[in-house]
Amino acid sequence: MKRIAIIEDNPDNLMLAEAILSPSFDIVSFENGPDALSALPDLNVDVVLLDISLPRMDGVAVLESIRRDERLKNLPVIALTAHAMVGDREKYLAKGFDEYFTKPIVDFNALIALVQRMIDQVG
Amino acid sequence: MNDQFIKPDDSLEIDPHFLDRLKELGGPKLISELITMYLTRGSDLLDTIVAGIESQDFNSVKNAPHSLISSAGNLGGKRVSKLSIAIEAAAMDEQIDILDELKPDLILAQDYFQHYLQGAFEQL
Repeated sequence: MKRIAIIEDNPDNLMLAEAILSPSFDIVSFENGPDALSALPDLNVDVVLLDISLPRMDGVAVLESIRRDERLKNLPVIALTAHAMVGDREKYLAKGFDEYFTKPIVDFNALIALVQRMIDQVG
Repeated sequence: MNDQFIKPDDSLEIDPHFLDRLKELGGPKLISELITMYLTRGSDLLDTIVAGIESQDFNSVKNAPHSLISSAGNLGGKRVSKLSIAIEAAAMDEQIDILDELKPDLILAQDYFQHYLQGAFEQL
């Protein structure tokens, strides 16, 4: 089973994402970026779902750290965010996210399909 | 407002299908945990927003509604979610007049939504 890391500080969002994805994927979760960055190199993760508004270190800074790390830099990273204004998707893709998914999570199947597509693209 | 179960009302934009979908996904356990979390955190977040508007602490008013957008939206609280988006945007622009206008709407929407969730919880 492929492994997904979810980095999300909001406990209800995290619980919901885990409920949606856990039947299809192995889930590891983190409430903040620094903890995730410390652990990820040893976890053999296939895709990262990364919240933008995180305490201590926001999601963009976490992404930048992932891209600078030789062990992690090719990981597919999906922005999981409540920033859903016009232009936000383009903004986050331009910052280096591979995909973008908005909260609240309305379409459960769409999230599963997006994660699977990221996995398939990497091969 | 009394504790009687409040049925979904179009004007308050509560979508009951969200709870149905959550029940399909994770059964009563998932719904009860998410509702319990929301009833605790939602009140705290609303208090933070109201206090932030009254003291014109725009940073507080930016962060708290951001959490409410998804937390309320996950459970079908579309009105609370939409108002939170508007409040977050107004706080970013430090538009205190708009924040003052939105504050009572959010308090009302949140009050209805919490009572709706309490009713749904009791029916689990």
